[in-house]
Amino acid sequence: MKLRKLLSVMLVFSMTVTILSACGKKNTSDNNDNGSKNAYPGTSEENSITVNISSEPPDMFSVTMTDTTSFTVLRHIVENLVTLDENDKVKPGVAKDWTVSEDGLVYTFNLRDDMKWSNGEPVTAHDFVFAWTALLTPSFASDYAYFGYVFKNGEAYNKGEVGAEELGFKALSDYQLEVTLENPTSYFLDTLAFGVFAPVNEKAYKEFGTAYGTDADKMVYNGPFRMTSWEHENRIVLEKNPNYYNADNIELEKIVMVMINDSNAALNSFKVGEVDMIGLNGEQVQLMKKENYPVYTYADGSTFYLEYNLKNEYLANKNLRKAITYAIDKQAFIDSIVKNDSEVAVSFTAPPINGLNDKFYKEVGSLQPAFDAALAKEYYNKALEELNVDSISLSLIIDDSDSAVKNGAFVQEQLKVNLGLEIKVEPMPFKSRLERMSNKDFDIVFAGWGPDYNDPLTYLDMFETGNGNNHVGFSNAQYDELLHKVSTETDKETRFEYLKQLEQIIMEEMPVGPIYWRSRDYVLSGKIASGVIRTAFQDINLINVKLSK
Amino acid sequence: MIKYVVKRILYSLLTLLVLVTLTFFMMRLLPGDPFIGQKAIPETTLKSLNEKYGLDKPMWQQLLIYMGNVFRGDLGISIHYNRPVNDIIKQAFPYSFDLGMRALIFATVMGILLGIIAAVKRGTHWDTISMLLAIIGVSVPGFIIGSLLQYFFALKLTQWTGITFFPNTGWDGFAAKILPSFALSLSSLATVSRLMRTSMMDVLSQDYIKTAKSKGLSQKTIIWKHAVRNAIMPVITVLGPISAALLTGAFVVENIFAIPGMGKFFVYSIQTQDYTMISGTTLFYGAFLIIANLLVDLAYGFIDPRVKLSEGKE
Repeated sequence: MKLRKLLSVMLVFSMTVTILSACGKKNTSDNNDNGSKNAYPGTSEENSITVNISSEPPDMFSVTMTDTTSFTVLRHIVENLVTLDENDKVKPGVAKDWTVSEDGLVYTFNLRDDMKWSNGEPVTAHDFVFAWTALLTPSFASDYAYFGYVFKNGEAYNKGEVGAEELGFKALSDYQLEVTLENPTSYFLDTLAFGVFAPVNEKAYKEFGTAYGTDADKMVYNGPFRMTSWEHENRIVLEKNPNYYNADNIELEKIVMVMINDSNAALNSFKVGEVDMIGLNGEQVQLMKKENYPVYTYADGSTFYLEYNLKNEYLANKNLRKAITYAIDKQAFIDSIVKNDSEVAVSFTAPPINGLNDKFYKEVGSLQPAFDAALAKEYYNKALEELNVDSISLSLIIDDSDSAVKNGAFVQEQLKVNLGLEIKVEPMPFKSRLERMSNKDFDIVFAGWGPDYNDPLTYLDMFETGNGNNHVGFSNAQYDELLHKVSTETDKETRFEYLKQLEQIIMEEMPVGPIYWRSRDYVLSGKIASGVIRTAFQDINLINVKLSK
Repeated sequence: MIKYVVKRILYSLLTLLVLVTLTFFMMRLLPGDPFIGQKAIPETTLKSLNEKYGLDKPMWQQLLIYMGNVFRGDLGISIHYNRPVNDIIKQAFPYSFDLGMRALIFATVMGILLGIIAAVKRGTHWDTISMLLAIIGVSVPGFIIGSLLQYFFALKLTQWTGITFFPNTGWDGFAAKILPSFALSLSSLATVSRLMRTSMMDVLSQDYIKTAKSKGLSQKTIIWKHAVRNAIMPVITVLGPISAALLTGAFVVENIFAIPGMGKFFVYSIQTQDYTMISGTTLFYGAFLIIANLLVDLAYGFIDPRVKLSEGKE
């Protein structure tokens, strides 16, 4: 009985202390660290790092892959024809070099002859032919099948109009691959670095069938690392591939990827040295900056914007769309909700995308004011006049997550204050929102878009008449014609001139109102000296990480 | 007794059948579909996805096929993970069961003890403290308890002392299991202790307790031999649903402590509209709940011989 008494007292005491101290502590703690990266030295195992990837990669079969986390893992274990360097510039991968025909349509790749799959098979041109054919074969049901439309007859084959032998890629020999494109595509090599173009060893695929890529021992590897263990929903262990041609230059022996979903838990794990890299949310960025701890930022290529349904009786009016877009104080939005270095979107295509000589967004320049209440009001009055109404009723569809609800409330407030326009906000589950969007059953929706490849077209082609992503119902003959010109133009300068014009049309017609370009943040433990790559097209690449000595 | 059990099992199967059917139709009423995503997918892809998962067939046919598979013990392939639902449950359930079992045992033992103490020492600070604990346990949500435990015992304690007493996340080793089990047990502990207190006070005011007292029996004997045995019945009743809830996966606690259990599948399968996963997890939970309740009913008979399981016939 005494023991039980003691136990219960202890229990009650510890609970009370926990609860009470929580009230007083929160604001004052975490202020006294020294600001160097040594404050959090990280994990202790030698030549190994542990990073948080937050969630389970749902599927590791590159042909049907869609999830960012899956691509992150894949990047380390399967190498494509080409890969990207730290500036997202193309560099040789399985292909040691290549030639391009003058019309920009035929690429001939010479492959390395010293690469092996983890099942002992050599890595050959046939592995690419197999994977790319699978990508376009309807029975494989790849979401990203349209990526293969870049190949000659890719779309026709996918739609069952021609046979596989008509596809624009063939193995000239084991180590030579010839690729013919449908149109000259200046960003073709960039897209080749994308995970869906990864090679797949046919023998291995046949062995595992549809279970390929569902476990560590149900797939094969040719990249700098191999997956040696995959405890689902828990952790993935990658170990250096000793047969990789560049193995001597790779310092890490092991990468452990853990899946801590809760952001507070992840930060705690980082601080106690269980993890060497975690992503931060806006609140945590502020917290770590207060500690003077180095926080790394990168633009992830996402643009967040309002989509205006052009079928709506009010939103069909261009001036109203402009009024709404200009009336939102975008910097205030970032400061109060996103809380990091995200940028105000002054055009649609996000900063990481390459232009002719510089980043495309710089070449395009600012096409809308970050915020101009007076101008917005002017447009609003003009719109009311043109529509011949006194008031307008609209609703805004948003996700039901905490952050989305804040987004909705902010937009609602801004429109009320700056225009006197009252809108209704409708939060709903993600999938419901997507369905409403694809059915064009909305007035305004808060949406986001991320790039698939490094070219402005990855944003701008969605406004083509009838495009599956054109939820707003935008249709503009001049725009469609320009898009067509862009896809056939071989002169780079002219092509980018067209792309610029596309961007200008969007910002003038404003079927969408850009709000911000997202940045993301992460911290590294003292153990990591350099070599972490996180960009819009490689999030995350740890292959060349160097450790502190 | 055997007849009763067989009857109960038959009823259970019927319940599960209804459960599967209802779930099947309800999840189809959700707006959206498993394949709709941020970006439009080619029509040929959509078509073969629907074929692959049999979603191109008429509803009733899909249901019959699913039922047939379930009877053969096959819950299908998860649309989101492309792995058999059976495998996913087999992999995740042991974690949830382990966590839940620890929480359940702790909650039951501590809850009963606290309840007894509170009832016997009614009006004293013991009573106040145990009921305060009960109120905290019931009213403070799991994610707050979990986060606080993590913050103080995994983070701050480690920072202050330089020694890791409790790992922040994971399920490796005994130390890692303490905080999550405690966090998960708290609300059940509160339920059990409150029930036990009420029931105990009720029993303690009964005549036969007074008789026992007047016979000169010691307080210890009275409480443990006479009172507890009778007072514990309502607690046993709630243990069925409590065990089902604790053992089949606790989303919040598993999420905070990054334990690869079942919890997230209940939530994410609905968010991703992974039809096979929704049906699979619902069926699994349903079956578990039914079995737990059956065991509780059987336990009545052992604890209180007056309860006759076949009394329906009388």
